Amino acid sequence: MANVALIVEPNFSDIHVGVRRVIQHHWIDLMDKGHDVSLVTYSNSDFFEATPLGEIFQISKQDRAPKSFPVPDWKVIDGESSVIPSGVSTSSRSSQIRKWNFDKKIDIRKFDRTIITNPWMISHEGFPRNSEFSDGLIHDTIPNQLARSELNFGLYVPVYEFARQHAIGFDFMVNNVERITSNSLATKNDFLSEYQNIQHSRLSVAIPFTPLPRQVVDKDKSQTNTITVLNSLDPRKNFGAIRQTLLSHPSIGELKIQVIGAARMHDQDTHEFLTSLGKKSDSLHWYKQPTDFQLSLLLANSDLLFFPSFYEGLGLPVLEAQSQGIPVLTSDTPALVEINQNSQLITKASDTEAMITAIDIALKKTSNIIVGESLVQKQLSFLAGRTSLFP
Amino acid sequence: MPESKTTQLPALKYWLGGNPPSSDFHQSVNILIGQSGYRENPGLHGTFHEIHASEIDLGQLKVWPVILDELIRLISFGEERSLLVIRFTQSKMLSIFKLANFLRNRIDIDFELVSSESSPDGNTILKLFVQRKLNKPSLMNFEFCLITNGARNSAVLDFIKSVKEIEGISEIDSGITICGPRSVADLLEKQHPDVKFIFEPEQHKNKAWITKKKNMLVASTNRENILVAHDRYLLPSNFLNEMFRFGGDFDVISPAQKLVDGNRFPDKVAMNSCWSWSPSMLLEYEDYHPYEYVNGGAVIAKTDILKKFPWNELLFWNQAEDVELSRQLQANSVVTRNSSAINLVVSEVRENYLDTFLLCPDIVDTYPLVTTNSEYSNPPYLEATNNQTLDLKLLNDHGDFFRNGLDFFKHDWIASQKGLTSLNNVADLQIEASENSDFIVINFITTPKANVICSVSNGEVVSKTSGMKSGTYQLKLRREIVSRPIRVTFANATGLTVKSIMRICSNG
Repeated sequence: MANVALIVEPNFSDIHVGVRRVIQHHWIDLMDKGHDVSLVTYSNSDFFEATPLGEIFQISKQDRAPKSFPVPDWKVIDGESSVIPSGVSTSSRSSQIRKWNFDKKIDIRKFDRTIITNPWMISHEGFPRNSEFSDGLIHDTIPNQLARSELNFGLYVPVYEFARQHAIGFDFMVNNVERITSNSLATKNDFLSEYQNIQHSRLSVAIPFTPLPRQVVDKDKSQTNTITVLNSLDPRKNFGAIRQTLLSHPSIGELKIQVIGAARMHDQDTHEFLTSLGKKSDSLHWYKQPTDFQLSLLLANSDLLFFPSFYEGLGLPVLEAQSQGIPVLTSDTPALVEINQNSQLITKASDTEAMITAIDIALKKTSNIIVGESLVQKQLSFLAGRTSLFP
Repeated sequence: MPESKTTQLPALKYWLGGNPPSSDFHQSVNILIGQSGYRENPGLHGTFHEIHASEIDLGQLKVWPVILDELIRLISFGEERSLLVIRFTQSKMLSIFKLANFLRNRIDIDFELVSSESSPDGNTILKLFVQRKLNKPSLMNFEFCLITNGARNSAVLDFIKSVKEIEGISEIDSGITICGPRSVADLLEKQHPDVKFIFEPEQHKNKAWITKKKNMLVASTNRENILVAHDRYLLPSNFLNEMFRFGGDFDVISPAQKLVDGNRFPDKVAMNSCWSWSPSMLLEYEDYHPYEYVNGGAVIAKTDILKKFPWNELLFWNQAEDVELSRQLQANSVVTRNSSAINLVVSEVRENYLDTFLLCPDIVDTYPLVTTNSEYSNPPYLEATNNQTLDLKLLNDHGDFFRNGLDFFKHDWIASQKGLTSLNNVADLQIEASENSDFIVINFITTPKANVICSVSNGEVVSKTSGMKSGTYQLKLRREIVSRPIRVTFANATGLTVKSIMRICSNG
């Protein structure tokens, strides 16, 4: 059994939700494998340990506890919208508070494995760059590709500083870290395209996903289908195509729409997205920030996850939906092609006509679409042996 | 552990800005630095297969044509196309169609659109494949040309001498060619038989057909680089060193020009309009103006450029032949570059010539036009401040001073806690006043032994008082032409501080 340090940013619990979930996954995975895992951060070129230990793990346990369906933060039914008073909304989720014992330096060399959990922390003042590390995690190269204008999300993103931080971290990892792990084959390939001379044996893939148990939900017996869009209020998620596709769908009036995730775009665009779809659909519910368990319930309650992102490093929502037996309609960006278990439900990010057709295929379950337990099992087979940093 | 270092390929990619997204970029902000003429290290010209300039917003830079010109010069020569990425928001300085027109008119590139993506917030990212059509330029051959009417033979001889004394001149292929009347030919045959002479045309002699003479000089040489000057210029001994420091990749250079006493000659200049006779403006070296023109006294260029765009022979001396040539160059996206380091010395100045230029303020987001009182009614602030002391320590930046009728070069003066303080030994201050003001009083302080000398353009010193011990001085000035500002040149002025001015209106 190894003595493992997961090295995180001092404020990691408050930023980068996706990264926090990756860390949480590896924490649980390594603990489950019997390793002794510590959470370590840095300041003034020294390392420090978190107290109390195990907080993330406990939160994770809490998330697994049974809970009821969340109340939407905003809903439109029969064209009438209503805002749910704050206090009962999903936004009330308590923040994770982490305390560091900055009085007591630790010697990083006491650990068998030292894992840098993101590349950009290396650029931070106070990160001990004179150390060597066993592992580094790479989540995506999207900021770098955006800065090089290789990606276009239909909106200018001033991403240069973050891209530079990534680049500094990537360079450091190439020169000072034994093994570099990407969270998808697609991200590994993106990294390889930038660092063509690196030994391929130093690169690996670990998909940071721990499926929650499949939820059993009493679905509405009516013929109404529920389509979920997750984290879609974000230019990168192709919200324009989502809206256009759903508004153009002949059966829009009979669809229930669940919108999940906070808005990362202009209020005006968010409002227009929600109201236009709310008015035409059977109903629209927006859940800003459900817990992991609530999310699994909401996904289990739907018939299709619609996730046509312009680009993804992995695409956790796809894995989350499929772990509930729900098929996913995705774009053909490499990471999503890699994990979508229904190849018939992959279209170009710009092809709304193809998306409408694919929605029909998914809802009518034609073309051998895999759903339910078959989908759960297929994904488990796909993930087997691919989710761990090391044995 | 990993291999020692990954093998780095040569940096064939250029990143303009501070945050390159990977280490295989050559990162630099040199192009954004006005003091260096928005110039990159010349060793980098013609070397890159990818140029990324998306971190900066080109549309917010008034010097965008200069920066784009320099970006293009970084593109590699040869058969391969290079990728050029730029970002801009449209502004009163840059519109998308102006940018497109600029690129379309470039004679030195072929390009193909890769993508042009505009986002709702107004940012456009333009990606182009660009191929430079010309061969790699060089500075290894140079033709030094002069036109003369035969009235200043000593100046001609001084020019030739100065060229021959340039450091390193023997290490390149160079020549001197003079165009003028027979009298000069006879002189040169005796003293400088190695100098090539071209007889000026017999036609239109009385009108000074300088356009024809310059074109004849250009046509006479196959050397790649050419300097064409009037017979009042000398070249400093470091001329070639500075040219090599600047690099050979350019179309046209308007060199800095200094009078023998070190004062600046109008070398970076603009008209107040594109095609009308209008007041000329003197610009900061770092500034850019769409109505700029290359002062016809001296120009450095690629000979091929001047063969392709010759001087317009319909024009004679004093008919703004330099403005017309400049407009022709601009219409073909030939960007005139400036270098304050490439200096020529002006040995002789026409009387009152300097007074015809008004200082143009370098305002960050606009191309200002200067006004004279004769063209427009007096700005209200000038009337309102008559007989009031304008305390300069209350003003903070160039815009504040400009709005209060004072103008100067930013490298000459700085706003200080005491007022406006000179940074240089020689510093110009231009003062506007209303038509009603009879006098302008300037209060300034300096060290008692400074021996400040004040000279005035468009005016006279009516009285001068000084507190010998305190170093406090007062100048009382009167304008000659009421419609134009007055300009005071302070010499021995380092550390001098103008504390206040007052415009005195005896009738008010």
